[in-house]
Amino acid sequence: MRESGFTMHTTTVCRLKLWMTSAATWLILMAIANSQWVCGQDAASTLDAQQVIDEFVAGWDEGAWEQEFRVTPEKYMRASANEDWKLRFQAIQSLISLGSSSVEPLMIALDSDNVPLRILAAQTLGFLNAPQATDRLLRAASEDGHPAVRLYAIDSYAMLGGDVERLAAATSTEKNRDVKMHVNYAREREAQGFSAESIDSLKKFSIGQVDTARLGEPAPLFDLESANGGRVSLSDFRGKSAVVLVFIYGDT
Amino acid sequence: MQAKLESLRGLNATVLAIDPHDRFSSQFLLKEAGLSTADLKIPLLLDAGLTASAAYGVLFQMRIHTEWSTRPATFIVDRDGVIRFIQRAKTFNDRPSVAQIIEQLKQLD
Repeated sequence: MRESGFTMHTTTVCRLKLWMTSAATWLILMAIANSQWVCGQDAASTLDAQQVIDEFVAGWDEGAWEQEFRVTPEKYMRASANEDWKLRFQAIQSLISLGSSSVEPLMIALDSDNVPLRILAAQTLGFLNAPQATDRLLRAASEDGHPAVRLYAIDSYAMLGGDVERLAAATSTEKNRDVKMHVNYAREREAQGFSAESIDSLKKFSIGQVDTARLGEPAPLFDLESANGGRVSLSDFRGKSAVVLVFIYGDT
Repeated sequence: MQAKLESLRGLNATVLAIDPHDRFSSQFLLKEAGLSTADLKIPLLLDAGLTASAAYGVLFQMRIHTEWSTRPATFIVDRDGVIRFIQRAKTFNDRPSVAQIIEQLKQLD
């Protein structure tokens, strides 16, 4: 693994800093505060982002993922009992919460042989404040062997404000209909990223709330922005009106 | 559609649609359908962070277009905030009929 040396080094330094802090040797710590040996916030978080990625790869059964697709007719959705979406949701939420320190490990993940990991990386980079990732995403958009990676790389490139004319030129030989559609989509997006509100709601969301809607039990609360402006909370209707929640089908 | 919505109001029920898209994508899709937000008859709530979709267990993985999708699903929550009806679709057109929803709402009180 390319990053293992760096990871080990960072771990050692972090432990050293913890030990020094607990031993109250602040003077020594301050003396080396500007040296490369201090475990800075970014270095510590890089380690965490790599852990999130490693856990995602370890938890994901790529063989089952391929197999299930083959046996599932396209008109049917995957069984709701399938739980891989939870692993994926948790990984995305953790990486977004870690913020800028997730960017570099995710850019490296775009070189992985693991398709689900490349898809995760291409998608997640779009939610991060990562203008430095646009060139790498442009390359993924034009060269990656898997259409879902190209599609998400296109979305993320546009969300990060990449030049859409460069994108159109780099993807001019694209054959996949859906991927081509996302290039058009990118042109109209005009660099609009996800709203800070959406990112914030994702960061604040407790993973323990995933898949907790049960018959006869309190409905999970939500507070969402409305397409017509304003916000709507489920609790607004408490004691006043029953609520019919209609989740519409959508790809994102 | 309007008449059906009126009959739901008569049952003291509010319908909320939850859309997994962000504001840009939602407006883009409405525009492609020849519509705008002014045409919406019920509140369309934007769950771009997918937190409500995750909490209600409607996210799934699909390899046809993209990886991250939400399945059609209907939940009825009573006035005390308790879930009284759940249907998560197994196919794209797998939805309860309006008549079924009205029947469920009548049973609430």
